Amino acid sequence: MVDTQRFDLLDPAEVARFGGIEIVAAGVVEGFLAGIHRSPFRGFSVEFTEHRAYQPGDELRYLDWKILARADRLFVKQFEEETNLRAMILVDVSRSMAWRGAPARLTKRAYADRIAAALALILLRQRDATGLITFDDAVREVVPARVKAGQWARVVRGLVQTPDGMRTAAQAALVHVTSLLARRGLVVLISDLLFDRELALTALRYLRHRGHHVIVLHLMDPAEAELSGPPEVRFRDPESAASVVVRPRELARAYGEAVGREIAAWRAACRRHGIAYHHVLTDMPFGVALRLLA
Amino acid sequence: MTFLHPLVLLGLAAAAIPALLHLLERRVPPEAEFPPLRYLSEAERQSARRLKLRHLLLLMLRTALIVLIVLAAARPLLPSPGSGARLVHEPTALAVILDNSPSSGAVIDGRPMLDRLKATARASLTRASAADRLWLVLADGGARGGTREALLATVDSVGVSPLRLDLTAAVRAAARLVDAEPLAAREVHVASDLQRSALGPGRAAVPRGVRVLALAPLERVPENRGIGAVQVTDDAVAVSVVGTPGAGAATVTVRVQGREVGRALTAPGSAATIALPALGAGWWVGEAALDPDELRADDRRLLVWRVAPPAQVEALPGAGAFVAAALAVLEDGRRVRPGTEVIIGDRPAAGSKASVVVPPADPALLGEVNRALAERGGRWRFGPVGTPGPIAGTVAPERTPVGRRYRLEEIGRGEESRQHGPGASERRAMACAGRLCLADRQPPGHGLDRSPRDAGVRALSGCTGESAGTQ
Repeated sequence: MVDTQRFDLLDPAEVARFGGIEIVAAGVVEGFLAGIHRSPFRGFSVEFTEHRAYQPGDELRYLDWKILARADRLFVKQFEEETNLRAMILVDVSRSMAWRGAPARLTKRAYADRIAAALALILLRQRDATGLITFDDAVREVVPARVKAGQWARVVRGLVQTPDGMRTAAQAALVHVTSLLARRGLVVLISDLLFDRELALTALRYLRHRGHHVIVLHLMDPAEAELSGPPEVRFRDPESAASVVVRPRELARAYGEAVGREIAAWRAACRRHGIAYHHVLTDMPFGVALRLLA
Repeated sequence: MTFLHPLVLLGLAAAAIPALLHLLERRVPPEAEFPPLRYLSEAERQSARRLKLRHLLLLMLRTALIVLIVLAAARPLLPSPGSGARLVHEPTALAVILDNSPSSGAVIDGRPMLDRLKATARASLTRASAADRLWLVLADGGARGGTREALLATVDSVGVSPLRLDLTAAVRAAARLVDAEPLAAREVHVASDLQRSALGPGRAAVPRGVRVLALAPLERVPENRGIGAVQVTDDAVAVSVVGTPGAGAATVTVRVQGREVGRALTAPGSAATIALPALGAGWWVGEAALDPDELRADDRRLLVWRVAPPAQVEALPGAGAFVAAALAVLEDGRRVRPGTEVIIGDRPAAGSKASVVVPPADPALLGEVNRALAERGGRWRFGPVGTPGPIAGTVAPERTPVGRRYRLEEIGRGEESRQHGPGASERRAMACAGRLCLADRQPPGHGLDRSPRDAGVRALSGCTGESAGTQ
C-alpha cells in the first residue's frame, strides 16, 4: 500500500497509475503540504517576511532604503501574502508535449497537467485566485482566475478537455495571455520551451514589466536530455516535417552540450529579466518539482 | 622494399571494399519522433566538420588496415634500422654462384664483367644475417661455406679463372645443398653473364621451395673473337679464329721467342697460315695473338714445339744411283745430313741405328741378303719373286708399272704376312718404274719430330736409276 503522505515523492509514472489528474494532484498536494505549515508562495501584503536582492523590474517602493543607506546595497522587502494572490497557470499543450522517451514514463503533457493541477489545488487552498490557460500556437482553453468553490474542478476539466495541440507559437499565445491578466499576480509557465527563445522572452519580459511574478517550469523528458537510440535513426520533429538522420552514439556528446547550452541560455536570460526558471525532468517526483516552485 | 610473395599484392584491390561499402550500402534507418530536433540540428551543425573528419579517418584507417594485412601476407623485406642497408628476412639457406669463368674477364664499357658479377654477389651476401647459412660457388664448382664476412672476403679476392663453369650442374648442386637445410627459406643466387657455353646439357632439377634467382645479367652481349686452334707444321703456323658470327676481322700476330715473325687478317670462322722462318733444332716458344677485344682471355695462345735435327743418312753403293741422287737433294735442303744413323744399301749395315735395305737388282742375291737380315735380327726376309704388273693402293700412284716384286715374309711363319683392316701396315717390297716407294705407310720422319721412328731394319723397295731410266 502506498503511503499517501509521501505521494509527492514517488515516481511520477507510478503515481499516475493511481487515478486521474484530480486524485493524483490531491494526493501529491496532501503529501507536499504535510511538512509545510504556511504558504510557500510569497505575495505583497503588509506582513514582512524577508529581504532579497533587488532585480530590475522590482517596484522601487519595496526597496529597503535603510539597508541602501547603511550598506549601499539594493534589497527589496518581501511580505507574507495573506489574500488576493492571482495566479495564472500557463500549460503548453503543443504536439511536442505529447511525447515521451520511454513507455514507462509520463508524457510531458501528462506531467504538466498533474503539476498544474497540484499547483492549482495548493493555491486555491490558500484562497488564492487561480486560473488556467492552455495554448499551442493559439490559446486553447482559458479558465479565469477565481477563488470560488469548484474552481479546481474547472481547472482540472480545462486540462482534461484540452486536446494535444499542434505547433507551438508561444509568443502569440503569451501576448494573448497578457491581455487576459489585467491584475498583476503570479504567472507559472509550464512548457518544454521548444520554441524561439527570444520571441518567448519578449512576451515574458512584457509580463514581468506588467508586474507579474513569472515562473518558468522547463519540462524535459530524460531522453531529451541525453541522446540515445539505435546505431542510425531518422529523427522527425512531430511539429513539423523536418527530419534528420543521425548516429546517436556519435552525436550524443555534442547533443548533450547543445542541450546544456540551451538550458544555460534560458536560465541566464530568465535571471537577467527577473524570471524564475526551473528545469524539470519528467521522471522527477512531483513533490520535488513543486518544491522548486516554492 | 621487396616481397617474398608478390602475387599476394593483388589483394590490395580489397582496399577498395570500405569505400565501396560506404557507397553501395544504402540502409533505410528506422524513423522516430524526437521533439527537440532543434538541439539535434545544432549539435550536428557544430559537429559536422569533426564528424566528417572522423568518418574520413575511419575510412582511411579501415583501408590502411586491409592494405597492411595484404602487405603482411606478401611478406615484405624491409631495411632494419640497425643494420643500414641490410634487409630483415627470415632465416635463409643461401648459395651464391659467382661465375668467374674466362668469359667473366670481358671488359664492357671499360669495366671488367667480373667486377659487376662480384658486386652482385656482394649485394646478395651483404643482405644476409647471422641466422642465415651461406655458401659461395665459383667456377671450379666447389661450394665454400662460411660466415658472411668470410665469403665477402673470398668474393673480393676472386679473379678470372681459366676453368669453365657448368652452370646447370652448379645450380643443381647448390639447390640440393640449400634444400638440405631446415631453414624457413632456401635460395640460390646466380651471378653470371649467362654465356651459352656455360649452360650444360639437361635441366637443373630444383627442389620445391628453393628459389633460384639469376641476378642482373647483361642485356647486351658483346662481340667476341678468339683463337680457336693453332697447328704448327714444318714451316708454318695455322691459326683458326672463332667468335661471334659477323664480327669483323682482326689481326693475328705470331711471335717466336718474343719476336714477331708474321701477321695476318682473319675473321671468325676462318684460319690463317703464317710462315715460320728456318728454326734450329730444339724446343721453341711462341704465341699467336689477336687484337684485344672485350674478352681478352681467348685472344692469346701460347705455343711450344720441338724441332728435331735432320737425320744422318748414308747411301751405300748397293742402294743405287737413284737413292744417292735423292739424298743429295735432301742434303741441299738440309733435310738430311751425312752420317751413319741411317744407312741405305742392298744389305743391312753394321754400326747404324737403322738400315734401309733395298731389294737387290739380281734375284739371285736374295739368299745372301736374307742371311744378312737374319744375322742382324731382322724379322722379315724377302720372299719369292712376285708377279709383275701395276700395283693398287696408295703406296704408289695408280697403274705404276712394277718391274720386280718381292714378298716380305715374317721370319718364323714362312708365308706371306698380310694384315687387313684400317691402320694395318702393308709391307711389300717392290721395284717401281722411276720412283722410290716406301713399303711402309708410316710418313717420313719429319714434322714436329724429325728423328727416325726407330732404329730397326726397314725394307725399302725401289728401282735402280738404270731401271727407271730404261722403263
